[in-house]
Amino acid sequence: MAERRLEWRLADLAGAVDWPPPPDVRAGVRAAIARRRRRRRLILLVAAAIVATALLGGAAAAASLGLRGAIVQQVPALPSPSAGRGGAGAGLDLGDRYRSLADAERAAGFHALVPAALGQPDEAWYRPAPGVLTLVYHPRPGLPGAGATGVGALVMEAQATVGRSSFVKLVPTGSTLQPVTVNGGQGFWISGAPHAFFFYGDPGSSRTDSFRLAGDVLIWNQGGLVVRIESALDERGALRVAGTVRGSAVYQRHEVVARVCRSPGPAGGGVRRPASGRSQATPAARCAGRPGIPAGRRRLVLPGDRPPDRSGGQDAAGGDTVA
Amino acid sequence: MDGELVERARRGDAGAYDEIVQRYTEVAFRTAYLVTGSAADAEDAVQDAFVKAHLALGRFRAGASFRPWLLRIVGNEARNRRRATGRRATLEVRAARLEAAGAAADPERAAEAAADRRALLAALQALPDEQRLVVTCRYLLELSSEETSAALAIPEGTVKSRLARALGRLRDLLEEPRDG
Repeated sequence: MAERRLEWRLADLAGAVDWPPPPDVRAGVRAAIARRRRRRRLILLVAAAIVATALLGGAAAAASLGLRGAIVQQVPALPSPSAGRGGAGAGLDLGDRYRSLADAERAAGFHALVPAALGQPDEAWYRPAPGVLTLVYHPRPGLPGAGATGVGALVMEAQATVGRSSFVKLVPTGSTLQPVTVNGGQGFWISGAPHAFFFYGDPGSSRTDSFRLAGDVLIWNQGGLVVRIESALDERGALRVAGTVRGSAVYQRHEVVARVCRSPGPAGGGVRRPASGRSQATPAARCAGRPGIPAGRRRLVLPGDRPPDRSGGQDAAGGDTVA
Repeated sequence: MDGELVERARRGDAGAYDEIVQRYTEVAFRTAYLVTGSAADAEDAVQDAFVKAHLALGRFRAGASFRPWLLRIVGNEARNRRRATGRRATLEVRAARLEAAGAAADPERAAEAAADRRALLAALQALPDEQRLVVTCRYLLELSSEETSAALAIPEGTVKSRLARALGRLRDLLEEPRDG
């Protein structure tokens, strides 16, 4: 009886509420949709131009800068990320949120590579077009909130096929692009000025993701995926987290400790040179012959990193053995 | 009806999407208003939500209910705006008609009803945010459990448990007798 009385009172109140009048947003919606269509067309054109440049005019640069299935391209300036209403930071635009990582993985059709250092994500998202699985970690001690996104870390993963450029990241001049090797895969540490990115698929079915600002990013290839970690962590912190990403397809016992091989990269283009004092401490020969690391380039072992264990089955991060 | 409109909009019929926008603006705006606590932010959130929904129409599952799908997008946009402004979600419902109904016919009873409503509004304001949002979505907006779950991005089970706790708290605040 009491329950019904309270419900009756609430229903009575609902009839008395004086809501603000709803706006007529039809014209605004139409205009915004038209703007986004124009912007997407422009992005497609820019993407096509970049890919054409990379594939035709800059094969050498693409070879040294390209991740497997991905291209990182430096450009003089970015298309404005705030062209749309609300700006790029208004939402993370990660697609659909799933109740569990397993559900998101089912939707994505591939297993996520989870950094053991971060553990299971607080949220799992998947965006079918262009096929990006995102693990969201809330801020916590040791994982501060990133300014642009307010989350502790975003780990984004997309399937990339060899020979197909499925992920493009535009890096404006002023930011720093540092080639690194993470768990045997080629990658980059991109820091400094804000940068934008988008994914797209096969030629003919291309679909761009909207630009948005991102914090410092570590991006690399592992296990047939392009993996990127975006967070407020510095390079060393991001590399340590990346070193705990397990991927059976590429993971070898002797690769369980995060190791970073730095290379000078191509001349110019804002690529940071390695710190010579640290690099000289490690024999260059140790990097020779490994995938993505041309012979003669220097390898840097970060202070605190364990040297590679080529005999045992345990790693420094907690004894994980990889089949 | 929704399914046909959605299908037409998906095929690029701008008029069909206009009709969808018109049909759902009120519930979308009120939902966003409850979450953001600001009519201006709610308007922005609703407009952005309709734009994003249009872009995502291709992923809308045929045969599914459109309203909860849309309210999920609206809720996300509204929460993003609330986070961006750092504003606490407050219920600023203007109950201008508190005393209007029946005032002429039976002034004494109308005054009693108005006092009842004022007390209920005050009790709602005293609830924790998460409980107040569930109660207002379910009773003031008359959303279903599924729609409330979608708009607030919480599981339906959580909607029910929060609602039960909120109603219990309201009864305590209003000093209503409990069943049993």
